[in-house]
Amino acid sequence: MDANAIELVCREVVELVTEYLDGTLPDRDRVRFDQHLATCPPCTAYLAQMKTTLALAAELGAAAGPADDEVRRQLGDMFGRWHAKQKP
Amino acid sequence: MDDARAADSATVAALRRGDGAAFAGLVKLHQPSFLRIARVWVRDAAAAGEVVQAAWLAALESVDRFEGRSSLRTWLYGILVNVARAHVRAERREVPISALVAREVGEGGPSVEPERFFPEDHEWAGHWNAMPAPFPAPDQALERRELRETLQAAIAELPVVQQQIIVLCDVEGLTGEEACNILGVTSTHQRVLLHRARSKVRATLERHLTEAGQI
Repeated sequence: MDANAIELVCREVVELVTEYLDGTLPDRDRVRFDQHLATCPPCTAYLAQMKTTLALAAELGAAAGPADDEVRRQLGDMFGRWHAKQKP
Repeated sequence: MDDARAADSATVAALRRGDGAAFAGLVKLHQPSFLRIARVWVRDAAAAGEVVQAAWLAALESVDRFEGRSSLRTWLYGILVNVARAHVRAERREVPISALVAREVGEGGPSVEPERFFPEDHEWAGHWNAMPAPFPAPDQALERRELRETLQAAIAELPVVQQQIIVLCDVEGLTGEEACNILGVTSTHQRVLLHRARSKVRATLERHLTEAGQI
């Protein structure tokens, strides 16, 4: 089948974005997706929105969180008790 | 990859011989992720903290069974998820994951509201009828910090399996396969639900920016 045979419309493109970004889109669909993007500024903007969303999610994951010394101390004590119970 | 495996083995060996600094290092590295993941199951912060603590103990109790088939991080997350599920089950709030997945997969809707596209009788049917709004660029630190908070709230509003998947995959950076193994969902369902989750949070962020008059 010719990769150019059926052009994607924007409404279809937005349904393929996750597979496109995760690299799981079959080659033929990836070609159609790239062809669509090349001539569609709104879908390019949508893809950029999604990339920013993912970047923000990753930033949430990189956040160190509050340093809770009390919790760390409790966990340290727990580790000591656990190790004391282990067979020598 | 082999370096990472070797580092995991060294950490596990250090734990077995009672190296408190090795455990403290592990806690420092994973505690923030543990808390974020636990809160997907257990909303109450104090209860989530207890789940996390129980998960660390469960990990130590089963450290002899770590075989290095997955990364240490994935193994730890798997234990945490099991402890969190057991906590929910004890409170009799747990619906089997298969039932939740079936419900969420069945609740299909378009990723973007249909009114954002030209209708079927239009010359440009199925194409955008207006540009999607630009999101803040990497150098707009203030706007992005605010948007991160909106994102966190949007994730917390998702159906529970979608929350679990987006937190593991996009917040904590696991692969789809790792998330499937931890949660016990198929890769097809993982992909479908990750796509739904991402589409919904993107829509929430866009709405937030539009309503705030920033774009």
